Amino acid sequence: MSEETNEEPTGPSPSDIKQVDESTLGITWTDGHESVYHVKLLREKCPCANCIDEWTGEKKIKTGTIPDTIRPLNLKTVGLYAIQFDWNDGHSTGLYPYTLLRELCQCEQCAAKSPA
Amino acid sequence: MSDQDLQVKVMGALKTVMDPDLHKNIVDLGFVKNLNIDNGKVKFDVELTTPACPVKEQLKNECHTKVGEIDGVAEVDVNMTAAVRASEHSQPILTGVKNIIAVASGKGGVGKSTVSVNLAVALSLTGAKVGLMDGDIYGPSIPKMLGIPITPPKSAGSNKFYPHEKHGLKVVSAAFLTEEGQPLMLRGPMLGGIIQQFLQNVEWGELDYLVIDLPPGTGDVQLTLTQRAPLSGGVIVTTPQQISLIDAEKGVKMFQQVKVPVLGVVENMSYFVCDGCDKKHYIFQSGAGKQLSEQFKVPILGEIPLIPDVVVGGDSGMPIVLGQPDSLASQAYRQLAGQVAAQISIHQSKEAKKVGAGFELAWKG
Repeated sequence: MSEETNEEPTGPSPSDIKQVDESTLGITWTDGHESVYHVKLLREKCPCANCIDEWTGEKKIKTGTIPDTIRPLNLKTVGLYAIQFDWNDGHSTGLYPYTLLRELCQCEQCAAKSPA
Repeated sequence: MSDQDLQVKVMGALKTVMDPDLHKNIVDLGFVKNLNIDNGKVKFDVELTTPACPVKEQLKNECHTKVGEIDGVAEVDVNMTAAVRASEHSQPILTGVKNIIAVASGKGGVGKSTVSVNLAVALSLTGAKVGLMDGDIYGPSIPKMLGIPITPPKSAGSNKFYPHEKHGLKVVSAAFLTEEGQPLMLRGPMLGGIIQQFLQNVEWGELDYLVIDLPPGTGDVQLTLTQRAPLSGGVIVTTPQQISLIDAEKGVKMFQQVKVPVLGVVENMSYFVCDGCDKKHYIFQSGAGKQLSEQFKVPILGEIPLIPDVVVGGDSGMPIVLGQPDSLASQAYRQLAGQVAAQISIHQSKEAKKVGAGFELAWKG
């Protein structure tokens, strides 16, 4: 039998989710990676059907409409695979799967590879 | 040799007994309990993670032999017990239920409900406390398969109700919500509400395992359950033919997408044994189970033969595992129960520390 690892076949999951400061979310992953996110970026990248066209993937949020004062009111995990935010602009329908959150990671390492 | 010296030697011997699934010795796993040595008579419990452990007898014999060989041991009394470990979650529902197993198939007609029923009964026959949720809201067949007459559930006060009980199982089904023969004709969004009720408003009590029979496909009910229920693992049922693979694959990918651990694959109606010639006939060809297992690197949990008595069991309300415990199908189901329980234990032991379902964080400032 091959050596078992703790690697998940469907990608890493968060081992810790915390508020870093008033506008930054931090996620520590089971593969050791540490992510940080500016909450405004997260809101702009909301994947719900109101914010992104389901078929074309085109962004429906007009640039500049999300204010700098955007903040989550709270967040929760959905099942074992996503995070849902309740925003202070009344929006709350976006489910952010962990795979998406990893893509959006803006830590130094990831930002260098793919700037937002 | 003093009893104290013996204790050291006994523990040393038990440290060489390995759990073949968890890859650690039973002492380090914390299984050895209540060790008592009195004048060379050695007595102890081995507390496994499930009463359905498929290697229970093997471990018992190994302990007995190894301890028996120690110089100074006059008698060995090994008692196998079990304490089912719970799959952790922080959701405020199903708090008394330790493990939830979803049984899925990509398509209908593979015998999923029959598998769910017999799996649940086989688990309960090992001594575990088991519940069964019939997730097929449109075509709830589980009450009939268990011989439970259609009566409304008993109220438990404050909007809650008790499950029906039969053959050692606690059972919940949409069939009990309507009069016999009346179809439940609902639009999609209503289904989620019924499932929510099954999750939140049923007094399940303390259960070691809750088996959820998902309806075929990947729709509303599956979404609600995989999103909202703290599932410990999923089982995919397929039949042997190639064409089943396409749909069974979707079932596996569904679990993967919502990160529910795939415990393994069950190949149902694997073969038919003729009672005239004892030969195995592969009526539905063969191979899908094995292919699925290799493709997704998940174990085959069981291969259930197609025996007319399985159907008779379902139709008469006496599941074959109870009605004909010596049949080939019953043996296969008992093995299936053991493998499912073992896989749950394995997944639990590998669980890296991760944020589970039901985690909430209020934002400050």
